[in-house]
Amino acid sequence: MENATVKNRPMRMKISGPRRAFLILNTTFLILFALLCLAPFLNLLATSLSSDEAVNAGKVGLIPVGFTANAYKVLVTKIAFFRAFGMSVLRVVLGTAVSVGVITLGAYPLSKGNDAFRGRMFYTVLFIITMFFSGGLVPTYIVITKLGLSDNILALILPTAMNAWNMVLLINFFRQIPKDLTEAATLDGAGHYRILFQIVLPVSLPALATVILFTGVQHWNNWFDGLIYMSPDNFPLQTYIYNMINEANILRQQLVTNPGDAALLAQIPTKTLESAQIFIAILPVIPLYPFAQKFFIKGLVLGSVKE
Amino acid sequence: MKKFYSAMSSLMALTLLCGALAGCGYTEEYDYEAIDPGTLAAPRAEYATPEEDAAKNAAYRAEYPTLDRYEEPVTIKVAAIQYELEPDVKIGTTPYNQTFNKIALEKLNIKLEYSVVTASTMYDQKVNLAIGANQMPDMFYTTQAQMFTMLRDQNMLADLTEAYYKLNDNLLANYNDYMPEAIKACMKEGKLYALPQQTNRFATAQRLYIRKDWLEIAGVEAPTTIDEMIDVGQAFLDHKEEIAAATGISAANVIPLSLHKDLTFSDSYGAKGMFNAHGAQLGGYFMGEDGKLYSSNTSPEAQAAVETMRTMYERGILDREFLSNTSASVQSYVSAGFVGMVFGEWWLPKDSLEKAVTSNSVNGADWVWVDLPSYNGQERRPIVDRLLISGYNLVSANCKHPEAVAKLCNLFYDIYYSDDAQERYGTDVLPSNGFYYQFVPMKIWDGMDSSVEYRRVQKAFNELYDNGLNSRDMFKSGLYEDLTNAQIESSEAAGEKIYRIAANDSGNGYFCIRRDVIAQINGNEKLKAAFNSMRNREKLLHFADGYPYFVAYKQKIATKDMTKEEKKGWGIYHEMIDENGSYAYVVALSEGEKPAKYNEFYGTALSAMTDYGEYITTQTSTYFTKMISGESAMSSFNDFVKDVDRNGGETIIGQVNAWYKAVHAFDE
Repeated sequence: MENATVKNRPMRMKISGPRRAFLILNTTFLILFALLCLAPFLNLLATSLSSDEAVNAGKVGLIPVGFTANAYKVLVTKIAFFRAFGMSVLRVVLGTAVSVGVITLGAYPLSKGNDAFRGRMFYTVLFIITMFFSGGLVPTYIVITKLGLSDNILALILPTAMNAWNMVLLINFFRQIPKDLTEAATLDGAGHYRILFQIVLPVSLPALATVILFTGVQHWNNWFDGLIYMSPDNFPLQTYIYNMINEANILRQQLVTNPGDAALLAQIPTKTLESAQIFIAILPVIPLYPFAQKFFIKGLVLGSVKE
Repeated sequence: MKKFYSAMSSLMALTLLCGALAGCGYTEEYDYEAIDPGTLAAPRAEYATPEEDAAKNAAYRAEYPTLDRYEEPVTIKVAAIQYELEPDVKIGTTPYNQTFNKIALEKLNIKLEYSVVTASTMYDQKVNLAIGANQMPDMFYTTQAQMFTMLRDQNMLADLTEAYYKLNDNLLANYNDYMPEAIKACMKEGKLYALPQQTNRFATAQRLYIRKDWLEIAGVEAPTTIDEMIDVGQAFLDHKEEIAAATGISAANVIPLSLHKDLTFSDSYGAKGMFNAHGAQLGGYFMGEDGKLYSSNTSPEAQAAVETMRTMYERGILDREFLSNTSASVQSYVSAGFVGMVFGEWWLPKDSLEKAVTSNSVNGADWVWVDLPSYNGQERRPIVDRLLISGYNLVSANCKHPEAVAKLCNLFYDIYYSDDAQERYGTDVLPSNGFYYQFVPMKIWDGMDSSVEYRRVQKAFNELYDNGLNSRDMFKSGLYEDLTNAQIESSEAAGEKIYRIAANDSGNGYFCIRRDVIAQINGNEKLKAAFNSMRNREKLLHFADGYPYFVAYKQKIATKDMTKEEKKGWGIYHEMIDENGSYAYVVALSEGEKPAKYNEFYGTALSAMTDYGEYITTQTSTYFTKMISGESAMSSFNDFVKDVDRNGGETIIGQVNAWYKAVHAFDE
């Protein structure tokens, strides 16, 4: 009886002394490291919530000095900022949708064997070439402008829609899906589209989540194409911020030519306003990773086939 | 097969050898091509200004009208930089919808089509891209000298001689009287390939800005020599406790002199002023006694400047932490009231000095500025480029109407610089209706206008003050009045003139110049005349911000005793209005009242500069920083000179002298 109670007690894993020390040190180190990664963001937030004077004096570290939400109040009235924000959101949503659609449609046939898809080798090589060589800036610019896409959101979406890296990722994932699954569907009379959308995609959620995350973040962070193809009224957010931060220097250089530009220089946002805008700009991306986490579960196909 | 391989390998070796030889050859045999500017084809009628000979001018203008309208509509593709809007400009104005387009179409029958519109940070690259893509606009502006020479040499630019003669009298006079050498620099074999932007090279002159209140606390005078400057810095250090107590900052934050970490940084807040004071300019070339140009980096003057900074660093006068400073951090320390002395161009008062003056956490900040201190008994001179062209207005060789560039320049000038523009062109010329000078594709400033601006405003202020607009009580609370759109509309309907300064915080109206003050001015003919002698922009900027300060200043109220609204005018007043203001120095230099030293090299980088320039700049900064911070002895200056000479310095000097000879080959 006594023995039984002892047996029923939850087992406590024995951890040796050195091992315990290592775990404590390791956890502490990782927590500190995580906090360290947080520091720049906290500094940004603190700057945006501090008074201009404290920021100028370099007093602001991780905690706001001379707390004021003034920068955010001013920011609320900045139409250009929110227009840029909207443009970025639109770009991410539309861009990711188009991109994932195109990539999936490309990856599915290429994941088939040579006997099922005769021209597979040719297309694989074709796509791989785009991974290493591009037409270059000027030819791309010519293509975009000749297509009449300048200052059009499609100019930001179409050129990067077909991302060969992401496609290779999907191809490899599709290949790991047991053949029996698709063969069973074929026997039941399903065509390729039905197999892709109802069998392959639902079991490929982890890979799809990865591709969506990569594409979305890439669209959110890209500033250069916005600068080239869009007019300032249609800048996406990152382009808008890039311009905001660098314009002051350009204007200062021009003071030599036109002293009147001093008035324009006064329009340049202060450091606090700058920080507030950058902070708002990174906000949407921060929660993306934790939320996408739940899709990164392997083994969705586990148990679907009995060997 | 063996034969084939050996043939192939010989061919390969030969190719490599050729490449290597070519690589050696081009720097050694580099020869700068002399460009003959020639003389422009004479105008078909002799020119005289209206003041010189009215009849002659009329005859000339019959031949070269300034604003004649095209009979058929002419479409011109242009480029524009879309800057942030200034507060008085109608919200939503873009280059595409600005009223200048409408006026150009109505008055000149020119339809402007914008093929490149982008923000300032990308403008040059985007124009480059468009040219590369064979989509060059018909007319555009660029700051890149390299782009200009490249396009000119490939015959892609139109001859602008005819356009030049069509410029209005003011613009012509500016080019002829103040910058003939800039026009010459844009000429080749008797043709003019650009209308250079009008620039005042003296606006780059550096000065030393010093905290006036610190001088008083430390009981010293503003320095006139480098030795005195060191003494002043030492006095600031010795009195840092008193300075801290009086101004409310901590003693540890008292920085007698602050600089940018990169010694080759050649803008405000850097060490340029320090080098200039010693007669040196990093990256500059001066005429030696042997009639040849020498590099200033390796000159004894540069060495002297480094030695001075070394002394200052040793004593703690030069900020010990300056090696982590960017210009933005120096700027913010100045704003926070930590810095006693700083070098910079004329625009510092409104940029950062004003922030220290108006700061709530600094008590009694005030500034003085002096010419660069003299070293070793030399004359006190700033250093400026012999020729400074900050931008070019270019016209494509494919453009069918190159003379339109002159018409557009004239139209812009007419709108922007004349006070009766509204009578002639209607309310479209008002910023509040969508006219924004920054969006106009042609960049032509009345370069000399700024020089007279401060005199005009100074005169107007004094007249206003002398004619009774001088009660401090009236201006204590500033000149801003927050009006809703409804209030503005009803006032304007009643025939009142409303001066909108900026959109207000709530977004449903504007800050305007106080209506009671405008009413008082309009009630008195003398006041009205004085007020209206200012241009619209001057009323909104100089008057609205600066006048309350001016009244208090005139009554000898100390800056620290002024109200917040009065202090707000400190920057604009001491920059652009005061006769001892910072811009007045630029004017004095332009008019030859004060001497300057000239950097003889200008224009695009020579091939050796492209090859070795970056290395030399980095080495200069590294060696100098080490000497200043005491990490290496002053004797390592000799190692530096050897290092530079060995690694491209001599090649560059050779090219620079060849360039100089070529550029001056056709001088009379």
